[in-house]
Amino acid sequence: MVITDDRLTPPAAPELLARARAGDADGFCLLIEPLQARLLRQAAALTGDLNLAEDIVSETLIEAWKSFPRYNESCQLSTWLYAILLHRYQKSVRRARSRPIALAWLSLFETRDLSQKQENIPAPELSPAEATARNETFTQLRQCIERLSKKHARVILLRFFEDAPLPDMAAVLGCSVGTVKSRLHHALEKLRKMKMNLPDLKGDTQV
Amino acid sequence: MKWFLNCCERHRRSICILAGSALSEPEMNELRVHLANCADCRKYHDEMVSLAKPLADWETNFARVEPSPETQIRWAKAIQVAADVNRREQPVREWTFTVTLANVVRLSFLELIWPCRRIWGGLAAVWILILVANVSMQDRSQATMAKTAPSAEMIMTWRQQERLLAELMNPNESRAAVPPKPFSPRPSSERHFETLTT
Repeated sequence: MVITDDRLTPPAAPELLARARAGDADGFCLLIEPLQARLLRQAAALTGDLNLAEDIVSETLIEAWKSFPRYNESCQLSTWLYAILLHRYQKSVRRARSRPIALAWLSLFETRDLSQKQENIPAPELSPAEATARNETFTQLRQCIERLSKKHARVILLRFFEDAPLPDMAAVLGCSVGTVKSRLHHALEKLRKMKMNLPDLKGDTQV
Repeated sequence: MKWFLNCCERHRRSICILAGSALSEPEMNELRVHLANCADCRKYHDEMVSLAKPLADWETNFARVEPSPETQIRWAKAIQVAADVNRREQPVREWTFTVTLANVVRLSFLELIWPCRRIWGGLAAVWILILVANVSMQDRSQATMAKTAPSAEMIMTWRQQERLLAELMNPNESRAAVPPKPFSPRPSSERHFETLTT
């Protein structure tokens, strides 16, 4: 198996894909192994909590395994997995909201104690002041993204968090590339307007 | 047309796509030329870039997040369990998948209706409107007919009066106007007896 990066290297992919398609769980595990770290980082960025991120990644991988026969290679595997991750995250948020008391999932949509939530996420190798400033900016942006409509939030997350190319995004979202561009434009425009209304974020762009 | 005429608006869309690092080279060249000449769009571009930068650099905040070996083993076990359950359920599922009518309906719904649900929704709304209009018109016409229709007694009285008037006007005609008896075939013996008596 020749896997050097987070992304799949081409020689390894076809053989592992074939094994996974044939129902070989080990093949599937090998196929997704290089993508797991990035998937966990993406989940941590979404939830802000490492434990929750691990649970959501676990659910995502099980879901991906179940629906792997439907993966038609119209987009990269990492993009496909990220789309499932987004779906699982949104589902878990919905589930948490529908329960009257769900302490385990409360942090998914509580934004006040984000600093406490991020305690279990290892800090980046930066000076403390810089790390705090970065975290605050990112947290505020995430709050803004949460306030966007579902389709706009998905476009932003797929583009920036997954770094998916436009055709892949179109394949995952089930729309044309033109629609993706249009949604990206509208989503960024809305984010800009939200940012203008957030005084804390106004001068905090040089971080 | 308006979109094409509004040059800045068109370029602002390109600026957003550029902020998402998804702009093609020819569009970027065109945008560069516009940005060199338009101060407002330059300002917009700077705002967009500053907005997109923390989003694009999100991974630096989580650079040290790595799954522990235990977590990876847990995930692999979860996949194995799912695979075992899947293997056990597969024969039954395949049979039901191919046979049930519900699946055909479900698949056709997913393939045909779900992708263009807005169109179908619009058509359904139009049909509902037509149905409502139809029902309401039908009700109104029935109600008006019920209101204006004369009663049976009134019709009988009218007919009697009409007949009486006709008799008074032309008594002979009214008698002649009595309809002839319908022809009823009789046996030839009876007809012969009739000629003898006359």
